Amino acid sequence: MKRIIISGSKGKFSESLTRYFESKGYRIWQPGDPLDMFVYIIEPAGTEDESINMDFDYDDLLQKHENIALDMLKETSNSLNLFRDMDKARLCYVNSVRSSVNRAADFSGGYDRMISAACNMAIRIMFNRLRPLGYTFRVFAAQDFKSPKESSYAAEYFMTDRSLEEEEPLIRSDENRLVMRDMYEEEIPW
Amino acid sequence: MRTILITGADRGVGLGLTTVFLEAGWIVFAGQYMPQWKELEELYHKYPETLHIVDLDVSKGESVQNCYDIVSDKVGHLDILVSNAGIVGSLGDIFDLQGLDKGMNAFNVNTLGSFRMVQTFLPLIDREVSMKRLCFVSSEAGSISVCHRKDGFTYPMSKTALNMGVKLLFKELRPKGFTFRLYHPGWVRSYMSGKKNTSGTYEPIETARSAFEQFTSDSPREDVLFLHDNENITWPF
Repeated sequence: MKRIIISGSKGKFSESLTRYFESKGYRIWQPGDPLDMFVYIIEPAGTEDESINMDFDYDDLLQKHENIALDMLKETSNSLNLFRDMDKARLCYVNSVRSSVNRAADFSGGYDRMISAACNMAIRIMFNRLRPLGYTFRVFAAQDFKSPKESSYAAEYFMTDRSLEEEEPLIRSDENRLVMRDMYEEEIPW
Repeated sequence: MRTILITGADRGVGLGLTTVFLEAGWIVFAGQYMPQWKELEELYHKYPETLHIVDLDVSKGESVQNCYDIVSDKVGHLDILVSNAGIVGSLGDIFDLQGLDKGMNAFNVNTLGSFRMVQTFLPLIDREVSMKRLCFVSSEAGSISVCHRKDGFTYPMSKTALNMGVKLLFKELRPKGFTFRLYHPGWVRSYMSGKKNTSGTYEPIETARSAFEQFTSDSPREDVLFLHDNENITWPF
């Protein structure tokens, strides 16, 4: 039986993701258990259907930065030594399609997307550090955090291995690229 | 005469920018955070008519507002706002995170500081006589696509956040006639870590001269937001 930690935002996405993983035989990690998969859900409040305007609440943004971006780092850090098998240790993140800097203009959403984007940078730095040690990474770009369908697609993405050719140069293996994919497996540019 | 406000003007790239804009005959408002650094004062003796040194801490709304009150008392508009003030930061290694407060400070200064400035000074820039140009000193460190770092999270995260924010600002203000510059100064022998970095590639004044060209020249593609470095090379986001 595989053990999983699902951390971060505690909304509907987390609930349906948990149910889906349980339906696939995963169990929520308990102290003392070995860990197989770590999931962190990055969902800044107010990212949906919010038009851009410069009505900043700086204290709120600072709070979100601490509660989301820095919390993600802390939670990930705490999980690293819980994995039992480094070859199968997987770190997974659910972010929003709105976190894409390249496609910032294509989506609605407010300035708290700055925090979502910063999280992607943090994941990238972790990938650079941890992938050589064996950890694998997934970043899922959600469009609708209320959609059970999307959460199930995210779970399938997290559970599925990517191509990996150990003897080939790094670039030959999809597992050695950090990308963000949406529910249709399309890569969302950073 | 053209007018410009530069944040973080005490030393490094900010001081270099202040110098080259003064040399070019601009009226410069130089945001001063560290009065113990005397270079700005020395520059004032050379340009007493056109250099205005203003206390400014971009991490504090009250300080930004005080700065606005001083500047708006002296001039009717600003042509260019340069958001340059920045600090280093680190959380160390993912296995041993340290100093989470530094993460907050970097985000507050490097990211939110720029937006405090834009938001507060917009009335002075959104004038018919103004160039309406917003310039942001960012960094390749904010580029996720080509990130090579394995630790030290806070500075890169703050610059990625800045790039995202400027993208959103561009979407909002470009249709209103504003133009934008997002600038990576290169590896500068600056003082960001507290003491002068002697292993950088460029002296601050070198990258400041390059920035001057980019900040003051018009582009045939003002409808595209680029991240350009001091050699005018484009970086990905």
